[in-house]
Amino acid sequence: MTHSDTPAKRLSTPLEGTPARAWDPSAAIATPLKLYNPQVLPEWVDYNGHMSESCYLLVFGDNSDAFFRYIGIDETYRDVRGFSFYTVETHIHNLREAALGAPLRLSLQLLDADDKRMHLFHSLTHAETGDLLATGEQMLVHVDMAQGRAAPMPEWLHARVHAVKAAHSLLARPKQAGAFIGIRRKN
Amino acid sequence: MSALIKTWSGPVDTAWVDYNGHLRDAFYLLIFSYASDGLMDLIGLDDAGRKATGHTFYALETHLNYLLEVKAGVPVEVRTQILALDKKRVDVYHTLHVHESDTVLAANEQMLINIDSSGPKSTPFAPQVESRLRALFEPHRSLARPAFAGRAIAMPI
Repeated sequence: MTHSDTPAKRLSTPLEGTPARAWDPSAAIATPLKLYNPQVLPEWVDYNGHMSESCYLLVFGDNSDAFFRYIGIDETYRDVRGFSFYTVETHIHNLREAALGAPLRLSLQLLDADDKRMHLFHSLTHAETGDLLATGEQMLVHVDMAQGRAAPMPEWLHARVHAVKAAHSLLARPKQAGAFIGIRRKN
Repeated sequence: MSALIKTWSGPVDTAWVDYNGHLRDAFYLLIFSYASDGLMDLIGLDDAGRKATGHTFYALETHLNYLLEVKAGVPVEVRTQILALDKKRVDVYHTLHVHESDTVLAANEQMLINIDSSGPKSTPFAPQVESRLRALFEPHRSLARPAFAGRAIAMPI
């Protein structure tokens, strides 16, 4: 932890201020979606030179942010319409380490959705070796921020989310999805 | 008095919050990672102990439940329960609270594994580490299983 003389400012996210792309209902939906390819930054690594745990989650959050923009959600949706998605639950598998500067590739699979929830699965791979480094499974809820409670998605958003869900229903379910933590004993 | 171990305390840092001033989800995990470091300090795996043994812990798997928001500057603390233990793994359950409050802001289960850094590969705990872990675990055996332990993510039926 470092504390300078000036008060710390909040960190901005890579896509903050980037407007959502226009939705083309006739365009093919990639299975899975590949929307974000960062490199491991100096501020993400620990004293061992490896990407720290919480930064895997930071990257998954940025991948969700790229997905929001893909389906038409940006700061206007939040600030003007007053809706947002909140993460209520996350499960991460840390499989391999990532070193400073490593090229990363993220993919996103929508496992399920209903009228106010999205069940997402992020895979993080090394762009050159193809090794799977980590997976992140998340449940997100669509929230009416003024009411402070879950609310159904508007019809246009629901249609887009369910178009992605239909396209991704062809994908195999990742083996890490739906896992629970525990010490499994043989016999 | 609770048998839970206080493993981290401090204010929510301004750098950890979103546009609304609320703690961002990745930074809940940062706090819980600090709490796992706090547990390591208590069982002899602080900087000096890691050097002496050549061992460290990796988190294999982590599960988070976000229950309430918390703003920058609020003093918070993490309480830790040991759920299970074998020769090289420890299953820990952290909860985040406002200082001295029993309300749970978030819960995090982590499966930690002891690693020989020279491999790196998994290896049994050093004897003195294992005995400290067992001593901390003993009073936790009779505690109720916490609400968000062992969960799988799924749509409500």
